[in-house]
Amino acid sequence: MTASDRLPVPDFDREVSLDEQLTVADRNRLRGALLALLGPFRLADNSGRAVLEADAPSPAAAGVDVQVEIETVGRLFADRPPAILRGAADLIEAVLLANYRYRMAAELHLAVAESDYEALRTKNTELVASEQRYRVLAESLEQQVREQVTVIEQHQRQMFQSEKLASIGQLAAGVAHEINNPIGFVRANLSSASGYLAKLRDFRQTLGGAGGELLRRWQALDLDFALEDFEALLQESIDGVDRVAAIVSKLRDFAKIDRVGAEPLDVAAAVRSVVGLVQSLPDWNARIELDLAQMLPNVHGLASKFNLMLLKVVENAKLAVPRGGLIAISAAVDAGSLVLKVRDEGCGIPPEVLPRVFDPFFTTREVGSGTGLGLTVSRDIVLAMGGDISINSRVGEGTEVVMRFPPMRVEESGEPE
Amino acid sequence: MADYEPHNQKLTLKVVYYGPSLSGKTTNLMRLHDLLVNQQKGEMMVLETQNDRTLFFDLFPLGFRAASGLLIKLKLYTVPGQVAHDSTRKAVLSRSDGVVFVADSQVTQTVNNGESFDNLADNTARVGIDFERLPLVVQFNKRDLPNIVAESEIRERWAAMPWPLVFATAMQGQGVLESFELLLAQLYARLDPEFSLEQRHGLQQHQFVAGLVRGA
Repeated sequence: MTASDRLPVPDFDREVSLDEQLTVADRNRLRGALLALLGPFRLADNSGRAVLEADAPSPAAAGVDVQVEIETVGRLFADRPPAILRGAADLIEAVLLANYRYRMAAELHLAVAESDYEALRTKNTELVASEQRYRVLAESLEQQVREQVTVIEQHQRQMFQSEKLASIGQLAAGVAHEINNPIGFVRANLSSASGYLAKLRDFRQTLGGAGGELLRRWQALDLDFALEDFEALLQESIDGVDRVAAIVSKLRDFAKIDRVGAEPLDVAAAVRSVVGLVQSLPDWNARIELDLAQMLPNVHGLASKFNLMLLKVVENAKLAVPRGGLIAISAAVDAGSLVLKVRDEGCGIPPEVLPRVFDPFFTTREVGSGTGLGLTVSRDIVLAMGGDISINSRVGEGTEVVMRFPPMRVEESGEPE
Repeated sequence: MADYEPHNQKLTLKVVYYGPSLSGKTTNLMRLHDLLVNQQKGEMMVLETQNDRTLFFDLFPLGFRAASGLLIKLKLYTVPGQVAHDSTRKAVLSRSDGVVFVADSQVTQTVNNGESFDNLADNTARVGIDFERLPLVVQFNKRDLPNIVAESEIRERWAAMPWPLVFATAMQGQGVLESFELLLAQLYARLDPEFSLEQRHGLQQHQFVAGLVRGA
């Protein structure tokens, strides 16, 4: 059997020859001692080769075996009586046995030390590798924390905006509910009033052109003008009430507060809803051109978030254009993706500002007029929908915001986030 | 090891007594040394002890010459049982041809026996010995003590194992020779195909065992 362990020293338990068993120091001392005891002598191994000798014993010299453990390892020759020769051989055997013991102990000790050292080295290698792993981990920790912080900030911004939107939505729902009832009866009453007006007009007809006290009185009070103006007043009131109802309805559409979770999003409908809302805003002063392709594919997203995103983009466009300026919104399919463009003929964005427009809290407007989060949140939402957003702009010519959305796959119905 | 030197007509074998601390490995070796009537046995060599605990190993050689002139030399070693001396245990186990595992029968030593046996299996693998094919005898020693695990229970536990079980009281020499002879029988079966003991040296199993125990 061969040891697979790399034992660096000879096996302590190997069989050794007489020659190997005798160290140099032993030889010198033994030679002197044996020469003094025996005179000329020769110690030969089993093959007859002299291992240790002094002068030369005669060819007729007597010999005795030298034994270690259970074996004869050599033979000692000298011209001396057998008893003395035997005594000398016993001495050699004692030295050999002591050597044997010492050598085994020493070599075993060496093997053990080497094996322990090897084990320590292995352990050390493992520790170094482990330390290296921790070092790498420590170095990348900062980077990982930064990335995590970015993600958290992104979610925080979205949450902030979502909550704002939710409260707007709740307010809209409350307002809609509270307003719709009175609007309803105001509208009905106005219609009834119009009916009464017709009766009044009929009565004026009856008065005719003939004289009479009634007519004179009618004319004295200038009721012809009052009748005409009354009709205009009622019509204006009806229009006004209808507009209030429409705004409430658009607010509800925009906030979409009655929907939660993912849904197939009809981009054209969403665009119209946002456009409807911005145009009802009191300080709205821009023209909007819509160019929505037929049969646009649905995209995957939450209408409330999409609406918020588009609202921010359109608001930015509005702030860029002069009074009555043009904002063109188009939606089309390009290479399978839905491409939504919001182009304005406004002041444009300077090149040094352009790379920073998506940065959180970056704003060129006066302090207090905006949070600097509008485009940041817009980009977060587009990315969350699996799309991308980019801005092309030239100072003095205008700005175009281009958003691309992957179409919703047919089998897709899960959460968008 | 099974170190064959054709020019010297010599086959050297190595048997190791393995087992947990204080299970009686050295006692086994000493009693065996007394019990063997073979004239060709060397002195018992106790290499270094501390409070009667083996630090390196104990050893004695034993041999006989077959009719063919082949000298069969067997070296019997013990390992230090203490857990701390694992490297020494591994070095002594290295190149061994057979193992007598000496377990301590006392109830309190059951866990130590198991750990030591696992250690034996691990270390044989580390020194490149195929444990599955290693001649092995399991001896449960100290049967004379109180609070020992019952023989029936031990037999039941080891029933699925291929190794012969011996119940011993090494202090009084009981089971010592039996363990040794059972191991020699396995050893012969392992060596014969490789060294043609029967064909070339006219050595049958019973002659191999008798030669080592009683001399040629």
